[in-house]
Amino acid sequence: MEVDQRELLALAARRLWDESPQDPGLRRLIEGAQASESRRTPIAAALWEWMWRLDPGLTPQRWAEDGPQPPEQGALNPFLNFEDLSETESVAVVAELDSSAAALLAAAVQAERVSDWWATGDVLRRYMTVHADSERFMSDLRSRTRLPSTSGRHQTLVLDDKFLPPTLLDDYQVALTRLLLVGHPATTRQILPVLLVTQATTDDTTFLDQVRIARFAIRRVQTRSRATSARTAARAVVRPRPYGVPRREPQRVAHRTQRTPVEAFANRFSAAAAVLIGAVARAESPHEDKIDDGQWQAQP
Amino acid sequence: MTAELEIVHVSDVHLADTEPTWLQKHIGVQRGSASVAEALAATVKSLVSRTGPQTVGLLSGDLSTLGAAGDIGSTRIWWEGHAGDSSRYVLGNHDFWNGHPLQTAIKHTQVHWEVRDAHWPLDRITTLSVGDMRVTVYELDSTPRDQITGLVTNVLAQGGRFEPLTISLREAVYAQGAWGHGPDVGVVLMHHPVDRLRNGLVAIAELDQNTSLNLVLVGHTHRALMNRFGSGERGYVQATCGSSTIRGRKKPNPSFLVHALSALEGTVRLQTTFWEFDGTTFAPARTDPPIQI
Repeated sequence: MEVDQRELLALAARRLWDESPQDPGLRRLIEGAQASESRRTPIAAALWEWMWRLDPGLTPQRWAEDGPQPPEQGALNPFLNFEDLSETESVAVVAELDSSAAALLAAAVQAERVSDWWATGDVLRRYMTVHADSERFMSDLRSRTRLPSTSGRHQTLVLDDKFLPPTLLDDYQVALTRLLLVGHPATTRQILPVLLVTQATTDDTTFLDQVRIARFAIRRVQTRSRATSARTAARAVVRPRPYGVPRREPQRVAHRTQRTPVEAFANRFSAAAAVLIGAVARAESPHEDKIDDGQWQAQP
Repeated sequence: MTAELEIVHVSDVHLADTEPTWLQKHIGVQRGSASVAEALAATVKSLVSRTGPQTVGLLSGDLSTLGAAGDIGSTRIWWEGHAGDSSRYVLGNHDFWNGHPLQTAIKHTQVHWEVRDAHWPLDRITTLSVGDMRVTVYELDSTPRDQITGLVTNVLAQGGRFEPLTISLREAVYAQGAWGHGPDVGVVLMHHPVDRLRNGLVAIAELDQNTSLNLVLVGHTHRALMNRFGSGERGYVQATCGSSTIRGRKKPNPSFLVHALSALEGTVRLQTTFWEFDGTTFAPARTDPPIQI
């Protein structure tokens, strides 16, 4: 649904009215947007970002039906004006009203500054490369700064280079989070396995992080697509394979995990079941969600 | 060199009173060994109660396996009972799952603050005066919690955003005021290593700009590691403690670190000893050469 400023303000005001206690940050945003004469102000952009987290229905129709679109087909956030936007100043203007709203606007700008951020497949491929580069970079940094061999010498970092892999990785992570927020089922199913695999290659609490990402993504897609998305997530957890690598013949789980076949089966089954059951259970009872409990809105 | 203050640095104990559920067993949730915890408690108690340098115990997070309230509570009692009243702890990412990862995944912001209310005082700062040296321990919460309203900006971040941490640290340091009597040592106690926070490079640089900071004590990775980060002549040392109770094939032995801080002619020296579990008890396995911090 595409909204103009008046509709956005009305939606926000109604949300504020329904809330108890009212969020002072949201109130200041509404007042700020009302006071402004221009339509595409940073405050309106931040307000849209805020409301979009609460109401996936604000996703433009073309984006919701056909997935992420290039800019010429229409922006995701209709109030985000990159031509007139001074990033730092815009965020600072919103930060005077509310720091959470400023963080949302900053994240939107950061995500959409990634070149062709809407081209999901391309972004995923670049993300995987940057992820691997970043892991190598940080691993090298840890070994170079390790004590006691480097005692007396300090590691000098070139920290002002915004193209360092870890910095780029953050940009891609924010962009992929934004693509998940769109809630387009096919896009979510494309992104989700890659993210779950990426999590599995990083450090501990993998399963918990996987659950968090899967739940976040699945709750954002429409109810009728949740079971399919949950199945995709479960499959990625059970049979992780690097992005772009074609399916291979099934191999024995015990060989890969050094566990007994029974343990390996139980491990796979329980992880898959956990993701599926959790996702589907939540999908069945959307009315339980309250706005102040998280980012999800109860469906009318 | 006479140590003036010893910090017994323990981490990632992952203790639980309750038996693991079927699901927890099979998804491989890591759990500290009760027998190792017993040996650890005895060693920590003997270190903090012996005569000699003033000794304080610091636990850098992950008290529980999945954050069940009873598990965090009993681990706190266990830790404070053995490490003494002056001991401190921070919570780690495992402690914010409220015992139910699936339910908590969607409400983690709300649960995060509930857990903090129940188990970990906000903005706790501990100041220790040791001779003419002042050691201030700042506790930071590095577990991601997004915005207070649950408006997610980045669901993929593993460690928290560093900006809020920097702000709270800066405010805390400012509130501490100057110390004119001798060396002033700033210690940060948090769960995630600085380099594993979201956009870790920025975090490393931010901490380097804080001239009151000398030592960062962390855990999370289950592998002991000492790093020196920063540019120029100063920088700071990050000590990562391995898991102090988890045993298993292909895992490092349970371990903890003892950091000895001593003032010498206006400067502060740090010497770290790596204690390792040898199957029955903990014993010193390696002592690094002293370094100036």
